[in-house]
Amino acid sequence: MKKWLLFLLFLMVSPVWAKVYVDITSPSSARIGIALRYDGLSVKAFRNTLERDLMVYGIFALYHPMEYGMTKEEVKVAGADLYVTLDSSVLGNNAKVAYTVEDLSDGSVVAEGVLSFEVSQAVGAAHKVADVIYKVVTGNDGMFERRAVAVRKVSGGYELVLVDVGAMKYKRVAFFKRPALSPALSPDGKRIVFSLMNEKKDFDLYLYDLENKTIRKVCSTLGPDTAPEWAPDGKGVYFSGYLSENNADILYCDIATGKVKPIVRGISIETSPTVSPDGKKMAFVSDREGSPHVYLLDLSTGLSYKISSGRYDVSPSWSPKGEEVVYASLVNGGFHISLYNVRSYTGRVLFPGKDPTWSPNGDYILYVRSDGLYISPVYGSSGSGLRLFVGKWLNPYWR
Amino acid sequence: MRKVVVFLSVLALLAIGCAQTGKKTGPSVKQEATATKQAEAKAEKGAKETGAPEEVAKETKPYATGEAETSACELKRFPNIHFDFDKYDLKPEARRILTEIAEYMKRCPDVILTIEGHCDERGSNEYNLALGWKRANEAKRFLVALGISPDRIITVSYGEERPLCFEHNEACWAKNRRDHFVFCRGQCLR
Repeated sequence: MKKWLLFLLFLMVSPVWAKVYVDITSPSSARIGIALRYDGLSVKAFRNTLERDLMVYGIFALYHPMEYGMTKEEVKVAGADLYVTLDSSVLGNNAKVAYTVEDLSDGSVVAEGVLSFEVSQAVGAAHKVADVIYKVVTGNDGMFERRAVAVRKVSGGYELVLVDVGAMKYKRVAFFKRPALSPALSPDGKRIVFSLMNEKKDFDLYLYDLENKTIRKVCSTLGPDTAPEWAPDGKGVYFSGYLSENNADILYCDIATGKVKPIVRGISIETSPTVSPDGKKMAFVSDREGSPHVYLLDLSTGLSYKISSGRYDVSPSWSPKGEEVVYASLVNGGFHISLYNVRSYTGRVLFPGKDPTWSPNGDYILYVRSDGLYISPVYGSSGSGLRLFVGKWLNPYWR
Repeated sequence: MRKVVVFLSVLALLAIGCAQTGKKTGPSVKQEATATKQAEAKAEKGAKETGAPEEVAKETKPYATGEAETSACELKRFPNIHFDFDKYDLKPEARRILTEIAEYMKRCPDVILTIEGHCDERGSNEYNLALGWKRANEAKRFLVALGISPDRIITVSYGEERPLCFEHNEACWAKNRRDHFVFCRGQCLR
């Protein structure tokens, strides 16, 4: 973290974001052509990460005019829409990158800035530039500066990992022989709450502090405590736990005191709470009608109604934009990610997968298939998805 | 007079018969009383070890009959019971196995049972952990209804985390939707 404090940033982004090249919410397969020109001393990690970020976004076609000795005009004819110049210099451990994003259709500069950083922080700097380019093109915020957290099932146990989605890298933060599930990053990104089986084979909620690298038990009830989701203020978590031995209910646990209070109680299974960004509503899973479905609860009135339309629906995740909930639905024997719009009351099936979580900007879904961790844009035609990592992945969470 | 003689003879014969019966049964009663005392002591010890209340000891009295029971109280294995997809109600076969388990636990009062609830791979981990818990507790409720103290039964849920079978088909999933029974003595998971 200290390194991040040393990470000096001088960002001078052009305030002109008026033109939007791609409406990310409309289905389209046309990619925006980005020509990348590197001047000066190139920082390899910066370049690799930037190009990987742009690839993971999935809406760009990259051109390298310098490799083929192409002029601006030639690369424009070849299909580039934007011309990005990256002028780098390195002095000892410090690097500086000045970037310019030029619209090739009229020659106007649509974004520019200078980044100063330690060479070891080149990945973070590249994420910033990639996110600037994404914002120029779509008008939406980028997403690669925030990490995701997930569980990897490995031989002999479970790894709690932080995922740098854009760089397609992950880092183990803890390993457990017993099952560790459902990690959730705190709103400030500094803590992970997750469910861990203890020595008595019961699941409790634990808190991992990313700065101090410490772990402690924070909430425990009469049965398996699972599916924690942070309240927007970061002071407590909603989760599935047991005030009686019979049924899993939605409860709230104050992180500082460990005190638990009921939110949704019933004679059925209630689990997987996810809270709207304003903290006023919650989606959760209940089998009150026999099979699990997703319900929407108004936290002020306590009224809830079913929003999922499948036969078996689990794992809801509320969009950071606030209007949509995705969940996993069993369709023809396999799980698919489905989307429900809380304003229009409409839903649709997106693509195969389970355990969905939104990107921080609400434009992408990170999710799991049996063979790995995937990312797909929520909108548009990208049914195949991009596999970020192979292996057995569980419960990704990206906010 | 003859009638009186016949009546006295019958009485005498009955008296002899009863005395012989008493001789035969005398040592057995003593033996049984000793065995019962031993069983009570054992049950008390077991109750102390597991923290179980006295009712555990009461359960043992009618069943404690000596050394034969010692081997009968070795930690046993019972078959898993299975469930339909997304269900936790007990099938007839499951009830039969649980009835056998109840008899065994009544015979062996120092035995503690852990019921592990498991699910197949479909669904979310979170829902399956709750479902596995339901499955384990449904079996526990059945055993308690048969007279087993709830203090002797521990329930845990593994959800879908410990499959027995790793293929992705119904035959395999059916094996994984199960309650697994683990017996132990002493503190076990407490």
